[in-house]
Amino acid sequence: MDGSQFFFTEKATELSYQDLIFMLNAAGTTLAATLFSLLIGTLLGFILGMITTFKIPVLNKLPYIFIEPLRNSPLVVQLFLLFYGLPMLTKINFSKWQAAFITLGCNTAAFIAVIVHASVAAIPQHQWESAYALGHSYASSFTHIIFGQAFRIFIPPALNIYISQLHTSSLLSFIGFMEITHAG
Amino acid sequence: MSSLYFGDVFKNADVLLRGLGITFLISVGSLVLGLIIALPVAFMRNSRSGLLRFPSSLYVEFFRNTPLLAQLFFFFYGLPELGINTNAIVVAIIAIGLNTGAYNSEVIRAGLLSVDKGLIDASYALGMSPLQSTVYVVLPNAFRVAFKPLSSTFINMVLGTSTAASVTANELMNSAVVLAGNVFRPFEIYSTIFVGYCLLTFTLSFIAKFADYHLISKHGKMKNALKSSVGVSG
Repeated sequence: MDGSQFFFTEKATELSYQDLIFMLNAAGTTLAATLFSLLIGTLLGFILGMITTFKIPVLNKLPYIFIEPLRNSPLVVQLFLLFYGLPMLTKINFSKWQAAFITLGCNTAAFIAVIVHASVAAIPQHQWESAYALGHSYASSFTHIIFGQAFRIFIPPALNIYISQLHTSSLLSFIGFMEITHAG
Repeated sequence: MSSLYFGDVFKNADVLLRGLGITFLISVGSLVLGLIIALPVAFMRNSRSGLLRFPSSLYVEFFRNTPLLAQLFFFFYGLPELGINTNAIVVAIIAIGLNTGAYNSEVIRAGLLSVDKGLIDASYALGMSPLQSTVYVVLPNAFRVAFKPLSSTFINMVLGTSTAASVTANELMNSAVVLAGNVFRPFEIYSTIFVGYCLLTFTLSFIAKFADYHLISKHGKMKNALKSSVGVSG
């Protein structure tokens, strides 16, 4: 009894300087993985979201084939499908970092695309019509009139998504990715 | 490398279905726990007394600002050190319930704040006590506003139950991992549960939309009942 007690106290005191460095490294890994995949996700999500705002009948629904499954399934499943599933069937073999970037990035992209669509749709229709009346083309009215207003609406929900993706990145520990939850 | 073969998945469908059952159990348990926690916490966060506001804010901020996985680990590996024996499914329900409770309380709080002040004043003018006004006027109106975001946090929570696989709760994700280890067909199994989760959440969001449209927002009985109970016309 005394021995085990001693064992546990010794175990507890072992948690020290090196462990702190180890945890900090892992925190850095978390940050790096999250930031880079958020960057990928934002760019991809912006492109997809823009396509959904076009008024072209079939094309503007196409991104939803990509978006909806990603929004409606857990990240763990997507991660396992990519990291453990895909190498069994094809020659594609992702490293942990690649799998982390691709899944987190695509997942973020799906959420960002929906936010982009919502924030462009939130701009009243008369803004477009006024722009056309002033002689702007579609592209010009988007960049000069709509974008600025839509971006203001876009920021708060996008920041929410970024923070929740930072939390979600803890799930990368499932594939043995040495981030902070795995390190702890 | 091998070719696509779903035979093993169908042969072992009972394992996945049992996992789906456990996922359902965890989801419903966490939903109930989350709603039970959320309502008082929402009122506490809205209260004027700092004594009530501080602990509820602490709870909400803690659970909203840490990953669910870390919370699950905290409860699953932390509680036994305090001498409390833990069962994976119970821990999953508690952790996910507390997590979703924090999110739900924010949604309900927003709903409570959205209730028109004039409506509350009108209920006092009709001679209602504060309790009556809360039960008959504030809560139904707040619920109507909060229903949609609540359903979306519920769907997020159902997806979040897959995280409970990490603490050996044998729900859908965990049974898929075990099955993938047994029959060694990870792609087929993970794609099956990928589709399974999608179908589950699509069904849930369809039900939520249907309920919102027919019972709550537009043609709902609740709205008419509200009008007659409060006496607001138009």
